Amino acid sequence: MGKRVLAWLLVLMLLMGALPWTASAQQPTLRWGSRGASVRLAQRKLKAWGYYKGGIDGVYGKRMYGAIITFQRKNGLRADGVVGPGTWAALGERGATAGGGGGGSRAASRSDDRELLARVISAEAKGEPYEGQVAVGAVILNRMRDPRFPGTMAGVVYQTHAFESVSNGAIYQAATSSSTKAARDALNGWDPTHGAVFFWNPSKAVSKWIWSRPIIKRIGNHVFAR
Amino acid sequence: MRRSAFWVAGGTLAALVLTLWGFWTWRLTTANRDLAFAVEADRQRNFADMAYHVEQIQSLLGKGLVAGTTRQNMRYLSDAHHHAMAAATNFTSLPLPAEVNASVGKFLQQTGDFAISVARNEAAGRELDDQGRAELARLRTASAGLSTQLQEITARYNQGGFRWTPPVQFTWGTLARGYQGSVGKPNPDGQALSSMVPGGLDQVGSSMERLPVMIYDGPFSDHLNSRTPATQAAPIGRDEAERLMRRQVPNATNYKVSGVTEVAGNLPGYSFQLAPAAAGGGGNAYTTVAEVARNGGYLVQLLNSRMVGKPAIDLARAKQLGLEYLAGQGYLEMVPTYGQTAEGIATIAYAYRENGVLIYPDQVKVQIALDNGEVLAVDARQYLMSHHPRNVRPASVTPDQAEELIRPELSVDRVQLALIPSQAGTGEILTYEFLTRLGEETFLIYVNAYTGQEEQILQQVQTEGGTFAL
Repeated sequence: MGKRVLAWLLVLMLLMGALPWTASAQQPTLRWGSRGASVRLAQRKLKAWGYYKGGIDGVYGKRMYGAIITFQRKNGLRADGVVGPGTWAALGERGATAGGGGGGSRAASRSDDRELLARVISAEAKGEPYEGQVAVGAVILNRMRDPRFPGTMAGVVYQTHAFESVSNGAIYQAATSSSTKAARDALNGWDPTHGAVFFWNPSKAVSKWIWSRPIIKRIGNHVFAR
Repeated sequence: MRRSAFWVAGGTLAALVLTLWGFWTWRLTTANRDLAFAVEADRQRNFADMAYHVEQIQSLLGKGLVAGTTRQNMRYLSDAHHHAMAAATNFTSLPLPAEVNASVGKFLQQTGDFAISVARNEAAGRELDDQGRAELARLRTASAGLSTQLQEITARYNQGGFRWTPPVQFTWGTLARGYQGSVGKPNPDGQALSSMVPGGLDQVGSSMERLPVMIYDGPFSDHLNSRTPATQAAPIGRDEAERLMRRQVPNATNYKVSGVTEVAGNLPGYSFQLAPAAAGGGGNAYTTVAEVARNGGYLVQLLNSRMVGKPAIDLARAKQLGLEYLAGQGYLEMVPTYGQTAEGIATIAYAYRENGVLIYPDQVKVQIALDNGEVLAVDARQYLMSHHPRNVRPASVTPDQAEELIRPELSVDRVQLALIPSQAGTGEILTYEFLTRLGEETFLIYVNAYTGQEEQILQQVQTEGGTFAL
């Protein structure tokens, strides 16, 4: 099951053309040649403590290797140059615990994301056509990629007053099977809204400002806008 | 005698009920106050933290501007990025209306994004040019302004005893009008912002809104939103669109059109709501939606909500069926790249191949129902947005030269030319795609076919049932 979820993660990355090494709470295992934000994080930490002398460039190269070896020796870790859970812990970060490049735990968080997405869809778009349910999921994913909103799913969903279902507690109810399917389609990149980041029910009163947004499409009882 | 007994008993009961009710109310009020204080502490902390981080941003950007060496500059800019992200997180946790949130949040995200993109460029040996320096100076001025405004607001809050979440007051007003305390609740009357936003924050929002559009090489850059489709064709009317839709939707005769809406945005078109032809009624009872581009009538998206039965075909067969469907629609030269199955549905991505080069940006995704092989969903947006004749310049690095970069402990299973989107999403890079193996793990390594530099690494995962495979 975990592997299937992991597969979802990878497919998602590839299908959506998203950057593969986006931030995650748990840090992946780093080796020679690793790149990205996690490497930068490790470099910053090592540099702050005087182990690393190179630039914070996000590339695990020769100087970083030397720094890691020294760091591991001083901290009683196996000096193998691999930044796994143990070394991450010594660096004050949470490393991925599952073997195999640390994918397992990232996958778990991805599965949490799908569950959360399904619950929001369920609470916000119950009774809407299936397309409208996928659309609500797509809006949340679009917000994660938009500079005006938080970059994580929980950040977007639980943003204060962003979603009525969070304010009135409806989000804590179990997701319907069609919203689970809709969440999956949205995560796979289907987006009936073409990049919308707002939606509202025009029959309910909303602020004037929201009506000034460029409307893309109307689906069921919701208007979607950028 | 009987009457006084009645009054005594009734009075005692009433007193008891009142006492219980009063006690109950007191408990609720206490619990409510505790909750309000807990929420308040959280919001005060977020606001104060945000003010701190913004102050740091402006000082770090200032240091970055005067730093003599690239190495120092990189350090300051990475730190500025870190503080901008933290400030954005704090800020989005505050209960503010969308318009204030959007403008300030965007400013913080873009500032951080810009700082890190400069640092990234410097790491790759590209120094900050005059234009970038001017941009940095502008951002510094803007964040200094924001910092001052935030400090003023903080001072005003402290003097006026401002509360984000005042506890419910035990007053007649509360009884008459209900709880009025919560800040930034969506306003039903659409009245002036200033009445809902704590003093001064609305002006912060509007001053941020006036900042010019930012263009730079980062994922949050403004110009990515204004992309136009690569496929241009003459616009068509609704009837013509319906005719073309019926040609492209599988089993189209099984459906009747229950509604049509027009779609605006980057890829304008018509969205047809399809209901099973056998069922009566209309309105919202549609199960499938098919969207056709106004320019050219191409199928943009198809989405069928049918729940699928027991799988009867496997992923390999599904890939073949998807390929046949695409070929029937005129998508020739498509290659399945990734595919996986979940809950009876296979989702497969196909990429276009031009002169032996795999063009990843020109991608179409297809979902196949594993019970009867029906095409359930199609997403051709990426293909329609990016497909154009590319005439890719031949590689100047040979596969053998590129392979020298691959670490010796990796075994190379396959190498092919692939055009991939650049990290920032602003351009395309011709690369050699190496499918490599390290023990049981599979990595895709992309090496620039002109410079021989490593561009990107992806890890590929094979699942137990072989449901996910290349």
